[in-house]
Amino acid sequence: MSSIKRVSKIQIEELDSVHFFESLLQVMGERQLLSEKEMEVIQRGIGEVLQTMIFKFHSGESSSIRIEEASELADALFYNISQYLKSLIETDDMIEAIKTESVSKLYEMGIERIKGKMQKGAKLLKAIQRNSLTLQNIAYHDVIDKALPHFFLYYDYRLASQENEGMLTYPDYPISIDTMKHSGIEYILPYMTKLWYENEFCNRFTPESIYQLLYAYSYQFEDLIINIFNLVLTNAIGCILCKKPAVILDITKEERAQIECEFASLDNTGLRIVLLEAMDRLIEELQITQPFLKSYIKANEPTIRVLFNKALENQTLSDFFLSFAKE
Amino acid sequence: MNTDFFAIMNQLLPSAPINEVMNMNPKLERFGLTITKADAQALVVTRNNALSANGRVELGSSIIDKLMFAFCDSDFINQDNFVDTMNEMIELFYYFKNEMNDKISDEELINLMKMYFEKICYGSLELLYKEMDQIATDIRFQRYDFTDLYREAQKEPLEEEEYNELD
Repeated sequence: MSSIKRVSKIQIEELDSVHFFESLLQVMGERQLLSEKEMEVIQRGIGEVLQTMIFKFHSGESSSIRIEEASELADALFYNISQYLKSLIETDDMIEAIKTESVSKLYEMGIERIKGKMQKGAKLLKAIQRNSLTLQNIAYHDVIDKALPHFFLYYDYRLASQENEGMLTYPDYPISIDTMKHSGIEYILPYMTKLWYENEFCNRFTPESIYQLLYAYSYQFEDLIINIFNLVLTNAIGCILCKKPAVILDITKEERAQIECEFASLDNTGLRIVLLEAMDRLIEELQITQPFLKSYIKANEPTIRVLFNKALENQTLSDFFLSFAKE
Repeated sequence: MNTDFFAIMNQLLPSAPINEVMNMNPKLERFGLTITKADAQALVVTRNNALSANGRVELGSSIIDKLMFAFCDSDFINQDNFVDTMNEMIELFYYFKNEMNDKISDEELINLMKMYFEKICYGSLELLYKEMDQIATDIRFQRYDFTDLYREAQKEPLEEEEYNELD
């Protein structure tokens, strides 16, 4: 059978993932994939949908609108269309959709797509509330108990779909890997997925040991904006490097000295291999089977490596692999 | 960015057609007023400039029509000053729409302008600006519910004794 791969007119990598629809239109224009007449139809379509959105924005009580508000409405329109186009995956299908469907239809299909994501998100929120950690950290619980429910309650997927409703910018609680590139449901859903998996990971350790670890990090950990998963993962890897069960989490002064002695001479590549091996052992030991969580743990390797390297260089390993405070 | 976006929006949104403004003539004629094509053009230009100056975009030409319809029966407007007054009113309208933080609808703002113009300012545009400015400040600082403004506007500005004191 032939294995010839179809070459798309536009590669997805050429497009701006945040301003997706706008960048696709621009590239289509540049490569003459849109005739002048088709461009006019699209422009008119955008104007018509915006007109309806402006009318809805002021509940029909005002025929004019501030330019900032109009700009935000246009962002919401483009955001929704982008959501639909992204769901088509192949750029050729996206081009076809832009050429054949009306702007209003694309906007409505984007809304349907967002509604589907909202349903997934609402289920995920319940799951996060069930697997959340019991320890006291204000930012962590504020996000789970207030900010995320608020988002689902007030997210306006018609007129302000690009906004992170309920949060000034992004959630206060930082997750381990977060690009903060997107917004709206497109940001929140991956954020929640990662948070759920971080909880799943941390729940393999006893609440007492996590408390001890956070207390070792700072006795004021309740007020701090820190990623719990990262601290747990780092010390769990430390335990693996000391050849003891990861669930213990505590690393003594002697064990730190042993780590320093064993790994200080390694170069970057050597350290990378050691960390990846330790992560493999950790995954096996904790019986982690979810593919996402496995990749998520390994995706943390570069950050952990940089910090590990610095700690070895500066002889500050005691701030990196933490020891529980002695009672 | 805003200026660019203003240009783009004005391209995307339907502009105010001069014909629509001209279509008001049959209604205006009942009050002894008419507008020529040049007048209609001038009003649309004023509206576009006022929108741009106040950083707003609009759909259609309905505000020009609504303002003309509201003020055509004014005791202080005649054929000689009609277009000039309308030009001023259009500018005031968009200015105060912003100053009042969009807290009142188009219709409410036009009603307020009309009442103050007729009953309190006695046709003075300068006074109207001052009065509306005060109202806008009160609305912004939430000093009182703007719906009360209609009642206030209908009140006699001075008590009987106060008139006597003026003599």
